Amino acid sequence: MDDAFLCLENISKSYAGVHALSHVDLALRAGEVHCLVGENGSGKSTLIKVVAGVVQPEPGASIRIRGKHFTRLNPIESMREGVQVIYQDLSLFPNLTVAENIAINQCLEEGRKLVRRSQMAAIAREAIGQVGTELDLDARVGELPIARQQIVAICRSITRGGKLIIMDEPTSSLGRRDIDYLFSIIRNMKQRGLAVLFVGHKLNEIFEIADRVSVLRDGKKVWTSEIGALNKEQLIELMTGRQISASAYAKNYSTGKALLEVRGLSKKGQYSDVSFRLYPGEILGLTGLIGSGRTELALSLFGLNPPDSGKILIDGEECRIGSAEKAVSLGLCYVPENRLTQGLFMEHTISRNVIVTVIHQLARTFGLLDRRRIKSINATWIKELAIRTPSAELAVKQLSGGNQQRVVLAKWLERKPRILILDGPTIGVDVGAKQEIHEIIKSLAERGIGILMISDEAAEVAANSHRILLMKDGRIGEELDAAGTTESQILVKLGERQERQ
Amino acid sequence: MRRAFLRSHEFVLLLILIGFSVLVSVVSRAFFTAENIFDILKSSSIMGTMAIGVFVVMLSGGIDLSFPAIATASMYVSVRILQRFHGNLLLAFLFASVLGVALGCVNAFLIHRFKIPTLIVTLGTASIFHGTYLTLAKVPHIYSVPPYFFEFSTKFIFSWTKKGGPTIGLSTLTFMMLAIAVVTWLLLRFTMLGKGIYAIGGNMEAAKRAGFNIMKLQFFIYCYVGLLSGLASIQYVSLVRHVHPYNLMGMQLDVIAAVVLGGASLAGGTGTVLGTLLGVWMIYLIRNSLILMRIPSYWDPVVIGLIIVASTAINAYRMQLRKSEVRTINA
Repeated sequence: MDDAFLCLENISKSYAGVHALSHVDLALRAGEVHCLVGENGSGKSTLIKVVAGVVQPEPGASIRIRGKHFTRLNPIESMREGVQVIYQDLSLFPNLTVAENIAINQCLEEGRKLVRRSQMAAIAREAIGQVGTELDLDARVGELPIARQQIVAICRSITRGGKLIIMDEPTSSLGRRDIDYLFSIIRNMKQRGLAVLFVGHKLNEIFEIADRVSVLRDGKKVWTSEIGALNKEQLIELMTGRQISASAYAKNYSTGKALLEVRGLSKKGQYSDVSFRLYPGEILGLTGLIGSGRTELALSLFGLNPPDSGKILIDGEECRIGSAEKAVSLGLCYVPENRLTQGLFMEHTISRNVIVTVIHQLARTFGLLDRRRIKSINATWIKELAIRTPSAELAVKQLSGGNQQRVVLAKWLERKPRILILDGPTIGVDVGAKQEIHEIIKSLAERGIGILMISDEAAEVAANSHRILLMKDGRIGEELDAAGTTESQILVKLGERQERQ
Repeated sequence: MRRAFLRSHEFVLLLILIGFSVLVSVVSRAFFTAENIFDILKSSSIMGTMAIGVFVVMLSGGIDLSFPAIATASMYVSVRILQRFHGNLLLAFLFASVLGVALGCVNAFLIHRFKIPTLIVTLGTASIFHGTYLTLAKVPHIYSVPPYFFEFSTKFIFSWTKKGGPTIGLSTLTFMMLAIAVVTWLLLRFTMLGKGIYAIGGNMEAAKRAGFNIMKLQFFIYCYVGLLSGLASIQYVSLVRHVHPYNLMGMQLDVIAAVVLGGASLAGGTGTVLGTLLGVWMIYLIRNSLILMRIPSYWDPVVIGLIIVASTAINAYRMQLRKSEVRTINA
């Protein structure tokens, strides 16, 4: 392709005999947003590193940047040719101002010894103008919200002569409004003739922002096309290599006695007059925009956020849930939204994480732990939840996102819960693993556990629950029967899709 | 710009400092006199010099516990050499600085090469430096210090004499400390080296990726604190007129307390030179006024501790307020 800004041919890379990338070709044009998608471990990050010059491809590779030919790149060459990578952690200095953060690289590259504020401000202002946004130059970056910090990182990459901006999962910690803002900036950059390589795995976003999409699977590029040539199901199939049915979930549950009933629960400023019932064996989906009060509600049920008024009934009996201990003793379990910070001890082993909820029961005389029982507990869950690990003694942080989520589930299931609250159970998990987690959730429901599944993703609730509660501005707006409800219906009802349909 | 200052930690400190002074001057007439003020400035200048060095280390996200040991060794070596040979004050500062920088290099090397936490490294080297000094020094106490040492501290940059009273003025010690403060301030504000120190204190990983030479920065930082410890040690000899192996050794915590009081964070990346000086003066002011108010000196540490806790609590509270402000703006 003649108009290609970057042209990769025959890129291969193996680590210890395992192909991270094999014979990958990819062409990026100036002025396009190209999405690179694939499951975890598909080689996305290795490919980024090859382009950034951090990883060298095997012989036989060809990298052409604006017609200039390379067989491999080093980081300095890559930057000189205009490649800039914005990593997920953004690499900003929280204690320095916006202007300093944007200008510092250019000052370093020019080998300056002295710097003046006015010079830095000028560099920053120019970059901000090019990106087409506004920022307070003297604000401390650490005090800015993540979305703004991202823009600072983008501005900085432009001062370094970035012609190709690679963004590694830039939306992973952003809310919907911030994503819109980021996307408007990306479109702006595109219009100015920059090439953007957007790496991600949230399908909705990809369909929103991409001009073209390339799919990696097991280190091979399996697809490149205009985004319009694909629909969502086809894209998932390309990513996972198997057909994933998104058909509605239609197993029965008993509608006899409610396991959990909430009547008129209110908390000022968070949610008001929330009532619903959860039956044994039911998966009740709860969805709404970020800020609609869903997480606050979940925390209240689990005793961490006492409501102002209203009743919570378990097995028809009214209870006061004033603490998480009380909630657990009533048979409630809560798997939080951010499993990394709230749900797991990342440095510790799977085994220790799993037994943490039942540690008192494992203590024998003198408080010593029963090793044999710990072993059998771990063996059971690793088998039952299909946690992919060589041993229970592996640190949790070494597991993939999907497997980490299973460890969290195992930990709570060991407490034999009757009611399970799952908040964003598949956040940060890739498409294939998502499916498996959904299967696990369904099998739990079949054992008679009542499950309240809270999720951002309308598709997830639509496909995996019996009934759906829509939450809007702190109220349960509507209750839908999941059978026959589609994702787009939910989105329209939540008001997210109005302008687009 | 002006508004930013009103919201700064330095401003709060200044208010506390002024408030405290007013309070004390009501109780004791001896407090708010030029003599007393200049005296506080003079006696605090040694701690000030050291605190500036420690501030630079803490800005980079590290900590140095070995500077009193470096200072003690530097002053001993410098005085010993000058006892034997003819010399002058400039040579005294020179010898002390050279040893200070050399020992700082040892710290920097260990920290950079083995990636050991700075607290552990300097805790260890403090012990090594001081132990070596005690072992090798045949006479660790020196009382016969050449006279040009203490002439230095009795000189003034400008002064006047009250009739029949003492001479009052800005001591050379204070001037030297202020000059060091200004140089450090310029360095941090207008050089890439200074930005680099802020950068590694803010985000070490990002500093590496941005292309800062981390080794160079760390050598600079630990040599700089070594240098200032060396200079401060000669200021100290000049003031007390003898070399003592233990007198400086308890200073670590006071100095670190002053720097923290001045608004520097133990996590690195924040703080200012002005804040550091205010922190030091605060500690001396409190000590001085407690004496004037005839409160037993056992109360010193209690009051200083209270002030540290109170000022950092105020600061933390203000940060929370500011954060929630940002959040509501963006909501």
